Amino acid sequence: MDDMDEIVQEFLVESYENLDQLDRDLVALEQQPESRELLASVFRTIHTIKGTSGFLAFSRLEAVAHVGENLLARLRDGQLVMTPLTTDVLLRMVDTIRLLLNSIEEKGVEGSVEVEQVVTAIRAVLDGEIPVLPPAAVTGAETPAETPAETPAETPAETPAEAAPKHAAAEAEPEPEPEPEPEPEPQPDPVAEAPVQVAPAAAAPAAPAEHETARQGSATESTIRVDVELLETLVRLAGELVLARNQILQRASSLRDEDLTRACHRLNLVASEMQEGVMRTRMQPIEHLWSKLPRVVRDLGNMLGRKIKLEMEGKETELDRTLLEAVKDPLTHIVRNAVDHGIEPPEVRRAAGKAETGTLRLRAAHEGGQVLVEVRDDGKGIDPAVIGAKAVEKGLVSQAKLETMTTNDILQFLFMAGFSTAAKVTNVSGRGVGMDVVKTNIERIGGSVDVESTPGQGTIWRLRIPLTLAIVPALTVECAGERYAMPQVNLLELVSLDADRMSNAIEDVAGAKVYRLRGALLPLVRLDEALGLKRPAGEEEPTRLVIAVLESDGRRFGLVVDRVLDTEEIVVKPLSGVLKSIGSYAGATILGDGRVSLILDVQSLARRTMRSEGLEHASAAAQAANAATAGDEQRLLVVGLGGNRRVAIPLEVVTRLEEFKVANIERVGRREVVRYRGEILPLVRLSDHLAGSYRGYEEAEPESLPGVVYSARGRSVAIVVDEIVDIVSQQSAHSDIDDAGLVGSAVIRDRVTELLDVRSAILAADPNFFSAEARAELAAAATTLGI
Amino acid sequence: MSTQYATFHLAGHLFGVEVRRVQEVLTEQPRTPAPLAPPAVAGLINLRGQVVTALDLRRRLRMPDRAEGQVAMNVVVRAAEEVWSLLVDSIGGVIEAADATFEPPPDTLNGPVRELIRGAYKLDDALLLVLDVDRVLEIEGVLAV
Repeated sequence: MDDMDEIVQEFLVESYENLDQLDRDLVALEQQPESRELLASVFRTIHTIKGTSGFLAFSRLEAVAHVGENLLARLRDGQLVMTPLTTDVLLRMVDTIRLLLNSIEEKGVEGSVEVEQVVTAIRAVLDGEIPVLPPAAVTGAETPAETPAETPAETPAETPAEAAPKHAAAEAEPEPEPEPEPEPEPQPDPVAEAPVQVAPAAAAPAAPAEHETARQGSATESTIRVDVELLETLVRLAGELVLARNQILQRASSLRDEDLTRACHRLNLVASEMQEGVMRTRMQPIEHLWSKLPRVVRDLGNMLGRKIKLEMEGKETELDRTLLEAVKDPLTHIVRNAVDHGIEPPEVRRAAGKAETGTLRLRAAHEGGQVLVEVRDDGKGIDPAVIGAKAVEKGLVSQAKLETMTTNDILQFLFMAGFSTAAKVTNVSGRGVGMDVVKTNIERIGGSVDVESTPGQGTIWRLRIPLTLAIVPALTVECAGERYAMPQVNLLELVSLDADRMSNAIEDVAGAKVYRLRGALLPLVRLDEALGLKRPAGEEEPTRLVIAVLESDGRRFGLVVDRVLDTEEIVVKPLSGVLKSIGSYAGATILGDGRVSLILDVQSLARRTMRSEGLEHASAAAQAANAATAGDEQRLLVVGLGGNRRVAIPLEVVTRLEEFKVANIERVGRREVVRYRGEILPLVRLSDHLAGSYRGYEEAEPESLPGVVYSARGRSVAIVVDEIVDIVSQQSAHSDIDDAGLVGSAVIRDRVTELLDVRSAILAADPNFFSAEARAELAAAATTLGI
Repeated sequence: MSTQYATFHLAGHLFGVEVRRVQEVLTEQPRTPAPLAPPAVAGLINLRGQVVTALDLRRRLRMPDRAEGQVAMNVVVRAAEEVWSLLVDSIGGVIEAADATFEPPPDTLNGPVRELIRGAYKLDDALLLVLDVDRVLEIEGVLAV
């Protein structure tokens, strides 16, 4: 029985592969109906499935394959001509076979998969009639009772009449007979002759191999099937070898033994070559991925009434199979998107002076250690004006800012979550999930995606994908005496801080630590705190720190570590379940000295530590702004005043947040002051300063009030508010509705928030704050603050 | 009938693990701590290029920690999908225990030790406690361990 299972398993694997080829061939056949070579290939595939299923006693499968084979034999012998209708029937046959195979794979039996419909339909075509294809594609099993099952003769008389125009409409709009585009590549004739020699019934399994070779160029004869698990083991071992080599090299270099050095050199070369070779065994041509696309494009194109020619270039380009899997969905999404939103309906194209048939071109190539995958259509392109308008409507950018943005910058909005430009939601694309998910998924595997578009001429999507994942360049850092590795793909830059700068540079805003990186606030995560690390007793806090500026999921944050050690290529090793479930580590690796080091999961570290909603939100908005262009957005501290009033203060003027005891507030003349760090700090109560704020008479004054301290050139003032609400990022767009002491208002988090005129508030606290010599600096600051 | 056990010592007790579960026995290995992991996880060791999680059996069985400077031996065991190292005080020999002398956990034992052993063999000079390796390795969710 086990032997049998193995045979069935092999049959399934082989058949699935064949079916993918079949999908491609059938669609290609529609374009070149006269290609005997393609027909022969299709015929062979079905013939093999028929033969094996008969042997394995899968009778339904055999029945379907049998009629399919008959039809294909007629086509091949020129007794019938390929029409879109025939293609439909044959594709339906492929679907049915796939369903049967699925059922066999899952349950071991053919199950209740409905086959009569497709058998009847094929017989109808064979008899020169127009078959009835149930509108619901693929499902099959639902309505066996409805279908007249016995013979095609029983087909209701009126149905053909009904079906015919439907098909004509779907397939041949707007012209009745779609003349296939003349294929640019002239097929050499010699190949076409070969299949003729194959007798219809005796298409022996021996024959296929040579045609396969002739047709595909890449011979399948010289390849063998290898268990993926075995390959994974080899890859792992090759990784070990590289690590062992590193260790030996390290030792050997200190020994100064000439023979050893020579042997090491040799080992070095062999290990490197071996690693390269083994990595290549996991590589698969991107064709595996692309093989599904002709069918996708055809079906979708027919559904939407588009005429599309799909071209593929560089399908032999190889990449790691795990990556191939990861790219599958994003790529399919982009292709569907191009068919749906890119390529126009034929009549629109004609009106625009283009060929009615749109061209969708896939290109793959190796480029600088990466794989470039390009999806290019000659459709209507993406209108930056439309994207821009949408971005303004969604409050992602101000109109003024938009006008200064380049087309390329504007197109980046497409990758933002929830940004969908589909005027109406279709079931194809435009559900608001899409390009942002594509971007996230591609970035997760260390790749990138971008888009280029010329309105009226088309769009190009470019995916850049790393060749392999098992070995990644990483940065090793030290924190509290232990080493950690993090993937370099997340790393933007390193900032080193010495003790003097440390205390000034790292600020505390509402409990969250931030660092001012070139004017922008960078949320900080201390690795020792995030991992709960305890420094060994007696060890002093480090006098220097390094901030690794990381980006993950479009969020930027700084990871504070003690020291940066090195950059090196590391082999990622899996962790046991208990460590994986912690969520802070992406894996482990073994460093040059043989010690294990944990690889930090930057993504989840960012998520775990930046739990503070304010920062989350600020970062998300910052991402939006970064997409727009840096420097456009403003970070605001939102404070609450009595009467449910919200006021926003630019974060740039927030030096510190303090809590002042009301009892400690003293009066100097008409002004209020408080003792603060050995100085007298003038303060202004914002609710008094701003007209119209009030506190209910019966409300008791709280014991202490939060205040925003602003220091410049040795002078400080405090703006006392009722509560600190949040930190947000906001595009500088705001309305002009303002009042005394305000510069305008904006809607922040669905609440009307007033923007404080900081200058007047500061002057209310300390009229001499802006001394003469500081005026120049203030003027500069004022521009950036939009005062 | 009898079964072979690889034995080791832990805070004065003699424990055993079925020989077929034991992959190898190692002396003290450098360990990389795994912050945020349950306390019984003693860290990660490099077993010929494989990263193996080390579990401190004393902590798992809620015994007092080893004295400062006392080395821990590694008993490397195979679990369902993973390989683990159990940290013990010292290694004993392989003992062939007669099935007839096997008994359920003695009444005098209680607490975590009782839950994590399958029973005991009455040897001539000692009790051999048979560790239930699979239960010992079920530490996900046992946060307090």
